[in-house]
Amino acid sequence: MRSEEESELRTAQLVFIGKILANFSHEIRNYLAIIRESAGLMCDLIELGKSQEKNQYTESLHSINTQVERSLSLLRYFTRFAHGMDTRLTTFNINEALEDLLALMDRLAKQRRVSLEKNFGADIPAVYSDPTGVLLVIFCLIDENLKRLDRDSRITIETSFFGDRLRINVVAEGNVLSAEEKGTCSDEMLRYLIGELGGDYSKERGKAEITLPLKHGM
Amino acid sequence: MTRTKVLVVDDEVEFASTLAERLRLRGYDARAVFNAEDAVSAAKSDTPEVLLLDMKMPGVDGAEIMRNIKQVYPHVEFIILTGKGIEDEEKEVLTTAFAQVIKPMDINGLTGIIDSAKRKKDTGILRSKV
Repeated sequence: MRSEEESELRTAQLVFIGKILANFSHEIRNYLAIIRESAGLMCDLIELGKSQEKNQYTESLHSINTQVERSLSLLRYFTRFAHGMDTRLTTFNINEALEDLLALMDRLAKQRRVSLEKNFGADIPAVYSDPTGVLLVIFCLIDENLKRLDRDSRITIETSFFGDRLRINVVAEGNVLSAEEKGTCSDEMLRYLIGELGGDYSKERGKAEITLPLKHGM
Repeated sequence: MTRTKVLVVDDEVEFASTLAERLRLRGYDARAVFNAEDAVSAAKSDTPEVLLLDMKMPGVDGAEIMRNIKQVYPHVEFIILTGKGIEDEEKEVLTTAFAQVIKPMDINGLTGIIDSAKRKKDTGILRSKV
């Protein structure tokens, strides 16, 4: 691999992790902000001697509970995503790994008013591969589509398998913006990454298809 | 003494509603809206003196909202609500807004900033009348 390509790969990896971390941080801040205001409101009511406002206390407590649940849910996805990097090659559930990625990219998509959807095949066998490498590829494809699609568009991630191959489709539906930002990964880099995973890549209008061996390197 | 009119604009409904409620308990004439369109309508129907604006609402360029409202109501002071701070490249926001506040914030600190923004707004109106 040439040094420019290595540099592009490192940049793509860092952008991937950076965006996931930033998004996660932003979401947690929002939940904490709601918790702070809800708890603060209860303090305000107590200090003002408004103890008869039981409904407001209940609402505030319910709000705090909801935000804690949202935080825990996001933390579950984040923890699973982070632990996916523990070992380069491992056995994992592709639908779960993609679910983590979609949950962690949800806000990024909402910023652009693009919906991220999943259409996962049932009973897909466990995959033995590089989970972070696979997610980097899907991240790059989602990121590229987020930058080129107009608002109210949709990106759907589909999974299926045939024989000993896993298929992942990234399907984009919607109008394309006239001024397109550059994606995190070039097409050449994507092909390199997918090649490293033992996979194949094809792209046609609005749809990218990746096929990967269920057992990489075996 | 008239109460300072504050408009809270944030897509997180519970956050914006609760913050507005807490500001009302502190004597502000505060209300909350949850999207850009309602922010512009609210500015038209009952112009706020201070506007607390979430920069990262879905599908919305916060700088554009500021620009649109400032064009018609130049004396409105903006306080930016942000999760990460405003980057140097978002200079227009930095120069136009009165202050930025990083969520989650302390209510006493926020009311101090709102009061300062109100004083600046009143001084600006006084100067433009002289």
